[in-house]
Amino acid sequence: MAPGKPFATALIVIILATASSGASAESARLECSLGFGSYAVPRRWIPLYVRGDKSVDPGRIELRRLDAAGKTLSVETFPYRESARLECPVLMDESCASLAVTLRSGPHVLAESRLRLWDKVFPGHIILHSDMPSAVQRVLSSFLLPEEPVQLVSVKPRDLPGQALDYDAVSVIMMADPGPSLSPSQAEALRAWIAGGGRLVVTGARQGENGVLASIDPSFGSSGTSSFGRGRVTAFRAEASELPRASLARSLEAAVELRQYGREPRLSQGTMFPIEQGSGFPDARSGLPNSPLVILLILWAGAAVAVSFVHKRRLSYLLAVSLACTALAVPVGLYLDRSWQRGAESSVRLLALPGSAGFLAEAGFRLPSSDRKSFIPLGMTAWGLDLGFDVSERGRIAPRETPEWRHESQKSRFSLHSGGESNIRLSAFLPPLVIRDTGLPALFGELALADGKPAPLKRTRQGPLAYFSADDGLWWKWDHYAWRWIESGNCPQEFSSQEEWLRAAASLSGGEGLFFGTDRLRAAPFFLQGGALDEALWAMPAEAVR
Amino acid sequence: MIPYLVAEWREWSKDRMPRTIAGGIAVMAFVGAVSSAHPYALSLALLFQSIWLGWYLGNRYWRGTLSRSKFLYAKLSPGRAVAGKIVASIAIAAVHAIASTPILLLMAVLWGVSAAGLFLCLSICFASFFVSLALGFVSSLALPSVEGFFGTLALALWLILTAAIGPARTANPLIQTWLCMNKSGSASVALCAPILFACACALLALSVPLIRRLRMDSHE
Repeated sequence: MAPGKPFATALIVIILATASSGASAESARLECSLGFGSYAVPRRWIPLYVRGDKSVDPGRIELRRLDAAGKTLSVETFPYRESARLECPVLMDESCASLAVTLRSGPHVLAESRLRLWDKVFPGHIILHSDMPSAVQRVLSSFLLPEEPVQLVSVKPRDLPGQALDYDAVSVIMMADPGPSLSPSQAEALRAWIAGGGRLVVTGARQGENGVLASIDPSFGSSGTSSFGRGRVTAFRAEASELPRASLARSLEAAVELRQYGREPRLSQGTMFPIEQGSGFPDARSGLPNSPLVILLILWAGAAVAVSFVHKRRLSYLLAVSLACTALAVPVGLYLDRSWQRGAESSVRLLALPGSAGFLAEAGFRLPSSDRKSFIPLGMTAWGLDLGFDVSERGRIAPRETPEWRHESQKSRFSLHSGGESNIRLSAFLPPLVIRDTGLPALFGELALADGKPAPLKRTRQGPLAYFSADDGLWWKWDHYAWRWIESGNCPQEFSSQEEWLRAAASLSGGEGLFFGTDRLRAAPFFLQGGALDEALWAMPAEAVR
Repeated sequence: MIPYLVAEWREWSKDRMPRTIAGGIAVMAFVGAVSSAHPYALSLALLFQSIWLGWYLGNRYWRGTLSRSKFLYAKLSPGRAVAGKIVASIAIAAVHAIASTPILLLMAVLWGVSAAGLFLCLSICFASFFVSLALGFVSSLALPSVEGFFGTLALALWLILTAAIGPARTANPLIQTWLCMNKSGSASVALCAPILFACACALLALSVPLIRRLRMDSHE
């Protein structure tokens, strides 16, 4: 054997082994799809689906929202399961230009995919259909012509989104009855979508438990039109191909009643919590200046220095000054602690959907920029906020850090709306009765300031009264009026149309004082100050009152 | 021991202590004002004051000073003299600590520093005071002609080497104070003070034979 042969053989083996290990590390593939038929509607939530083909344990899917310059705006992570399709609602926000989807195992990146958000944009109605013949599709697509087109997207019933937020951009769903094949999450999401104004048309509807409608809501009939909340369900016994052609257009138009895009009175995340009307902090306090503390310290130091120039008994006087200041330290410290905006500002908006279909929620948290307590950049983030909802979702915001939202389950309630330095905005659909017994505080399972001080939820004296004026509508304190109505069953005339809403709100209330109004949804600022969260706001759109 | 203790106390309480206390309060007030009573900022300020005070109390026995003469020619056994020195120094440090109590309490209330955290921080500061006292004391006795040069060097080496060498970081008060105020839950925080105390006691124990030797040399 030639002298160099063993070496060459070993070298080849090493190269092959390295190549194969490198190949196996890169062999993971991610399949990502965004929107419906890749179409996205601006300022609406759309579904992002991610599926991987490699078994990774433990693995995480990381979703980074990037701006036009490629800078990461926020990070959202999910646990990864091989071949399980991850559904993640994504908001079509103009500040976000693309998404980076990464499969990680610890620090290792196994696969990455980039998705550009604004490649296929359709600012109009999206109609999902399943197994519809071409004649029906022609009718559907011509609904609003010549004023505006609608976008038809074909989906299989099993591929319908399982999260209510993902129906934000969907106006109509028409499908042949697939039977009771929907998952519970799909049924719940569809129910909420219909309650908020969605239009569902089912052909070949089957009766009772054999049909899809019963799985969504038992009150949906298998023929005719049923109103539910703001939406409606129309069921045709005949299959789509058997519908009379002569009256097809009229029948479907009557079933759908599609209006010009943007004018439909829907209750969805995108319409009720528009991007520009963010979880504002309009009355946010910028924090008291440092002056009270500075004055106190100057007085203390001044007294000590002055005493040091006294001729006799200096030490005694100094100790007396110190002891007097010690006695004052605790009450002064408590006063400053109460006064300072040391915590995070939180703003919560909740909309009770009609038909007790659930609640649309939005929560925003922000660390105030005028945080005087980090005046000296000691490299230690004095203030950050650790959020925890329902122990399966965690987030963190802190100055100079990218906000993160971490899901411990692929099926999660809260989705990351947007975020930036020191702020995070979350959207959620909460099914009815999710926190009935424990009330609002259970919505925020765990809030802790990053300095470790717990943020127990408690009421404070400061409420949203100062923020809302009489022009905004009618404001009554819940526990004085509404609770009595529920108990007595005698709702005053002017609120009779709201009774259903109030009952729905009651299911989320622990009976504490809550404020509600009849205006278009407005945010009420709440403050986490030393751990305090003010009352929540229940409101409904003015249109519902009229 | 008592006479030395009383003499030391009188010497300090009359003139020096009011100024050092007032100065310490002024420093803490300044740091508190610019940092909004930030725990780490104040604990650093207290730590450096402790180290400085220990050095100031200990590094006074170089050649030609009255303190050296008094110490070497006192009619006390070396052990009792050293004990008296230690007790007097502790008393002086305690008075300085009392003077800092207002702002420490304020800090604890504002920033939610627990009693345990405050206690650990104070114990680290006190232990650091003890170490610098011991370093100053022994170096000024042993190397009286250089007026604290080697003692200062030893002090700097203590802080630098314990920061640089991983396993030795438990003995670095700057790092341990950081961990303490960050509520990191690190076990090394609780070990710092005992380790520093042990080192200081070992150094001070060395001073007894050193004093005996110096007295013998001076008699000769």
